[in-house]
Amino acid sequence: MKIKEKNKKWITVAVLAVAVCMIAAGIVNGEANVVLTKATSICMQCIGLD
Amino acid sequence: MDRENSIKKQSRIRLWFQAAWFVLTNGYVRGYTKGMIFNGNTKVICLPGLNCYSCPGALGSCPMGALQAVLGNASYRVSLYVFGMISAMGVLFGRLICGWMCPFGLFQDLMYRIKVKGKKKNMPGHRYLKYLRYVILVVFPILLVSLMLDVTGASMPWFCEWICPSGMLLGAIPLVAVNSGLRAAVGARFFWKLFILLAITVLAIFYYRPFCKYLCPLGAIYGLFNPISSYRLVIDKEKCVSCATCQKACGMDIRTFETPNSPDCIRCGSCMAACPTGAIESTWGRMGQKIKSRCFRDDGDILPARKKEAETTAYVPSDEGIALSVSRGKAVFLGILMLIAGTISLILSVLMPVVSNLSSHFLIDIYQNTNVASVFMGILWCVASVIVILTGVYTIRFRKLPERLTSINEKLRAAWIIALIGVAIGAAGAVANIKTLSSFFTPMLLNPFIYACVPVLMLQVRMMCRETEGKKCSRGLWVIMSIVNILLALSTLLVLIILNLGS
Ligand code: SF4
Ligand code: SF4
Ligand code: SF4
Repeated sequence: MKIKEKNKKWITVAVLAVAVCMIAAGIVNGEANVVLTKATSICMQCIGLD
Repeated sequence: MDRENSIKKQSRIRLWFQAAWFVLTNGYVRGYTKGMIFNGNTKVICLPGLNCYSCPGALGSCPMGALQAVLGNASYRVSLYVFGMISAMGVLFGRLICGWMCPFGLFQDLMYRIKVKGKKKNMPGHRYLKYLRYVILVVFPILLVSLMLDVTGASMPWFCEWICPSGMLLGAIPLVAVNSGLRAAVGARFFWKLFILLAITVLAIFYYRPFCKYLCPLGAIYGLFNPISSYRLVIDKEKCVSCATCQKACGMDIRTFETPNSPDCIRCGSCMAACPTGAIESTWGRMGQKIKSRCFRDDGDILPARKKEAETTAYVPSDEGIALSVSRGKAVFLGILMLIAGTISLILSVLMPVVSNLSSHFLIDIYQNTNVASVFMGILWCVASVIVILTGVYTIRFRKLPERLTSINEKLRAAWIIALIGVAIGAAGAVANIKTLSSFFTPMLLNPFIYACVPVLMLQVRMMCRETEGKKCSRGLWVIMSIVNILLALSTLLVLIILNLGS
């Protein structure tokens, strides 16, 4: 299916808007804290030590 | 020969950009020397590429690791936050991230530069192997993480654990090299991941980006965004002669002239540099040209649409000066927008040195005295803001700029230089004083954001000056730029909120 160039602009904007809403919902949901907690201590699985 | 040079030049620019991006996003020097990782609040934000958050220098998170962390957490079965972030980056950049902003992409590019005989673009079985990355995407970071739960309902990051070579290269090797405690814990899994990294390294010497082509789940996601991302390639059908030079130049072996937005395209730009007729353009390039031609149209003449206006009031040079073509109402409105942007920036810049003076733990890597650097940046910002604000006031107050002020270009140049120094120092500060990023008011992080307003403001003032010279400047664009400025200033506040939420 070919998407017209003109419509692509709107799809881009719509997807971006949805993405921003998802980020906001995720923050409210407390997911940001999970990410921060995981990322601020050395991940043993990442470095293959677990 | 010219084409060859331009391809080489383009690839050199990309390499420098990739290296600079790596330094900027993995610049926590203390981590490398002490064998530890950065633990500031910026890690709540995902970096665009496959950048392990266990890399000692990483200032942000890995999107794949973050995704698995949330999916594997007993309290969550879906990750809106990380999917949202990956989608936002995907829709803005698509696989431009792979070509320009991923450290593991850079690593493979460097490997491919090693001169050996028998280099090829693709591995045998490329036609089928290229779908493997989608299988890995569905199976490892999603299905296994969501389904293989332990008794507590949590799960392991399967992709990190068994496949990801970026974790080994950026995380394990530098940490184990310096940290003796970690060295003692090395076991079978470490050697398995080391084996994967070595295999990919050897393959990357002979084939172009094998991990990106066949295995990377993050690249697979970004690829899906390629056709709708804001950065796309566009083929000018009139110019294209279907010579397939683009495909020859393309390391990913894409028939660019047929599928310019293929999910395999990493937006490296080689095809654009190689095309003999200049038939390949990017949407960003087109936009840039449009803005340039609208901002600075060098016809020197009054445009026909403005002629009537000019005949009555505007553009009539007089002894006193040259009238602006902006009506009083619009001038007041635009001036106020400008003043608001300037004032917000000014307040923040005054706040920053104060806050940094109050902050108790400034650990200094480059500057001996960070507070001085902070105050210095604040002063630079104030000076630049004052120049811009005064120009705005002039516009509102006098509606026309006195003749002598047309020499304002000179002053603007000075303001530009101040602004650029500000941007540079802001960025250097962010890298140099990274430890402070963990405090609530992260002055060093905020600076680059704030300073980003200055060049936009300067451009606006420059446009105003062009108007006084009777040249067309888009007022719509002017308003948009004012709004962008306010958004930039507000984004500093948003960052504060996000960092606060994440702490
Ligand atoms: S091991 Fe790989 S996927 Fe996991 S966090 Fe590190 S870079 Fe990301
Ligand atoms: S495909 Fe993956 S490893 Fe390759 S550049 Fe893209 S994100 Fe990085
Ligand atoms: S199509 Fe062009 S931009 Fe895309 S990977 Fe190939 S050479 Fe690079």
